[in-house]
Amino acid sequence: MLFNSLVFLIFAACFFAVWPFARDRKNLRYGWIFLASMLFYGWWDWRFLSLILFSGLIDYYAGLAMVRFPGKKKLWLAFSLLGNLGTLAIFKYAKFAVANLNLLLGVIGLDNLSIHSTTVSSIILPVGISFYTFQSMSYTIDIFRGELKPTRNVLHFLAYLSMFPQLVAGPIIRARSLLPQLAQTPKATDQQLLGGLKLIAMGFVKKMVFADNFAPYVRQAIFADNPLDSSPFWWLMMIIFAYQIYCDFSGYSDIARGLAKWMGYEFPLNFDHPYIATGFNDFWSRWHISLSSWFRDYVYIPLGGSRTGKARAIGNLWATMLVSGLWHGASWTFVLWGAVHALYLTIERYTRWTEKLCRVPFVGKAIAQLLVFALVVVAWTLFVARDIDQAWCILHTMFDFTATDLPKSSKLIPSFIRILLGIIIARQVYFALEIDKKLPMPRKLSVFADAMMIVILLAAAVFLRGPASAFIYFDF
Amino acid sequence: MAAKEYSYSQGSTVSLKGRLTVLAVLAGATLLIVSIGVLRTDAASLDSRTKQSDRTRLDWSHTSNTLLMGDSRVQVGVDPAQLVEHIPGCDAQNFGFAGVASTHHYYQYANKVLRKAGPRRIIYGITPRSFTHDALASNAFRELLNKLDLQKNSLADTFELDVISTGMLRPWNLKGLKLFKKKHNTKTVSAVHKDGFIAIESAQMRPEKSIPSHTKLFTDHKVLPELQKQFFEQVKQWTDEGIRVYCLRIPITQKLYDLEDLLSGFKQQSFAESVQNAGGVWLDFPMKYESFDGSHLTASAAKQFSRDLAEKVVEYENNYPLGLPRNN
Repeated sequence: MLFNSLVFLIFAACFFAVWPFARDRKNLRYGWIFLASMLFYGWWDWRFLSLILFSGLIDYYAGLAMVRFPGKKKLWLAFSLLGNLGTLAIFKYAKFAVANLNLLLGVIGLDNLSIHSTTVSSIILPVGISFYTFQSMSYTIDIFRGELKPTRNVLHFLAYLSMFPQLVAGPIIRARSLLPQLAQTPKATDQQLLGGLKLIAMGFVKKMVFADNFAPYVRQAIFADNPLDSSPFWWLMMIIFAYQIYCDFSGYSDIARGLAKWMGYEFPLNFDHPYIATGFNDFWSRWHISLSSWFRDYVYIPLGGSRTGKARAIGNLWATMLVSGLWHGASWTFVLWGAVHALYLTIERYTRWTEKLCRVPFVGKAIAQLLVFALVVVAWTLFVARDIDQAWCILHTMFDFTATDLPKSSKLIPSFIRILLGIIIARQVYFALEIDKKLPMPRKLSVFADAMMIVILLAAAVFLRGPASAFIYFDF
Repeated sequence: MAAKEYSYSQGSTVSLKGRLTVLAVLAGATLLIVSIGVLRTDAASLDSRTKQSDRTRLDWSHTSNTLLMGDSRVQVGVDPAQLVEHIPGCDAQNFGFAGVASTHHYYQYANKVLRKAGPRRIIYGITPRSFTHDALASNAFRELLNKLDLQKNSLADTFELDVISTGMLRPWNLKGLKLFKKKHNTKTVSAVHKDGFIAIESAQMRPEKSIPSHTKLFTDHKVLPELQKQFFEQVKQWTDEGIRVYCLRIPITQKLYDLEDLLSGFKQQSFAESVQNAGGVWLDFPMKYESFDGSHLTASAAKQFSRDLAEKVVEYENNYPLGLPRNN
């Protein structure tokens, strides 16, 4: 079920109509969340409900077993990781692995051993598998580390794992943050109610007005038979893509957080204006925060983090970023995207160029923000391209400053797309200059302004929406 | 201080005032949306009305004895009302679809829409593009079927398609927004008729408009013999079933017509002969009608052309009455 569909609006209306009666009774509360979440996910394909249940039950029992048999904690953790990563391997990476294995066998002359691609080609990628698998894994890892006590009620655990607002595209919420919240009788406050509505309205506008209007132009550029040989065109197109993916993903997170607030829960911030980052470390503390912190806590730090010497720390960083790239998709382009960011982070760590630049009076910070943004945009080419060859072609054109056919390029991007881009960039500048902090509004006025803004945003989402499409991160 | 001045609760539960605020906001948003929807002066875009029409037409079931088939040239180029008026006993419907490829997906629908028995005719507008790989690859008709099948899956989705996409909540046509440009007098009057005909009158005539796109199209894609062969077999099948099949080229500008024949590999004469060998009838028309983009007729030209078409059909059927094999 897509947030941006009428079916979801009907579903949400039904859910919140029953919620006030269900939330005060513990088991009814968990049961209602679980039931609604199963309907939410099953609407897409009911067969994959078994996969969530399978993944969840493995971790639920592994968690209990770790407490019951403390001497065999490692074994139970391995069981949990194997179950989760095994599921991911089959559903997400099997095709990629087989294609690469066959390629390798071909190179070493063992074609006869190659696996027929039809064996794996029929495997469907279940929506949001990477999100709920990682969420589920964090539960057993935290229990293994002694940071969380397992829940003894399977319904409680399944309600946590399948909670519909964040089920298919995050934020990835740790059990130690959400389970205690679920255990309390939730009481939404006035602030949560209005704040939640504001987030939902903002999320819909980001997704339906910005991302959905940008999407056809990016798709058209990427899948064109004869891609344009124009540097400004591709820079503009990649900037549009940068905002498309940001609005798409952060829009989903906003709606998820808003829905949680309406239920009386708090989900962590997932995007904190990433394109005004003054460095790459800063960027990753602002972009998809729940995933970045997941990789930091469960991959980077266990590998030794930065406490094991400079060279080893860089190795750990690269390993984490490559895995993060692979998490986003089973393709070498995603791995390379991770590698490019690892390179950015390595250079930044060794030279501290962004930090030094920021110290330049007046303009230093703005230049650092612009340069970081430009480099992030360059990296997005690997993310959006169909394959490495195309990514290389786009990059080559972007940096071929003799191909500057601007009039031809600008015709392909209509006025309203340029206006939308201008609005979203203006919003970025607004936060970069911290105008919101410098000119705080009186509370009474702020509530009124918020109310007006929500009304306008909801109307904008209805009348300025682009052609509907699924959220990009559903595929991850 | 500010928080004290306003009693909007930041405490642990929702106050009545908080609840009312949210309700007021939602009511305000609903009111604004409905008001804009009711008061908006922009007509539904041609695109959204066409989508609605496409959906309706796919539901037609044994509703006519004369079916107009082909792509957008037929859809905007032949007015069934004119045929009904000028051909005795004719009950015509326009079943042309933009971007359609000449494939079985499309042919199968003819038997669904045509009456089961009695005198029947198909008037098929031939376009070289519909026999190319380009048409096959995009296969707009199959895409349309898939899309509508998906959207018909639930009551809510059907409602979404009917009311939200085409009703007062339809999105504004942002593509039409011009910035920093002089406004041309480009008023286009379009009407989507219940019989499937789309009438287009454009104040801005650009008969050269289609030349570049068609040049590119036919440089990259030629007509495929296997698709043409499949079409002739279908003509034979229809004829064997007692359906009279008329084939023709819908008039376009002479320049585009020459360009199509030069680049696409379409040989009209041999095509017409094959149609006739399969039992069909080939009708020739001069390229003299007014086109707003070089490829599609204006509404007034379409009406004139439809009258001329009706005249030819009547003339032919005076010699070979419908319902009887042509060689009788």
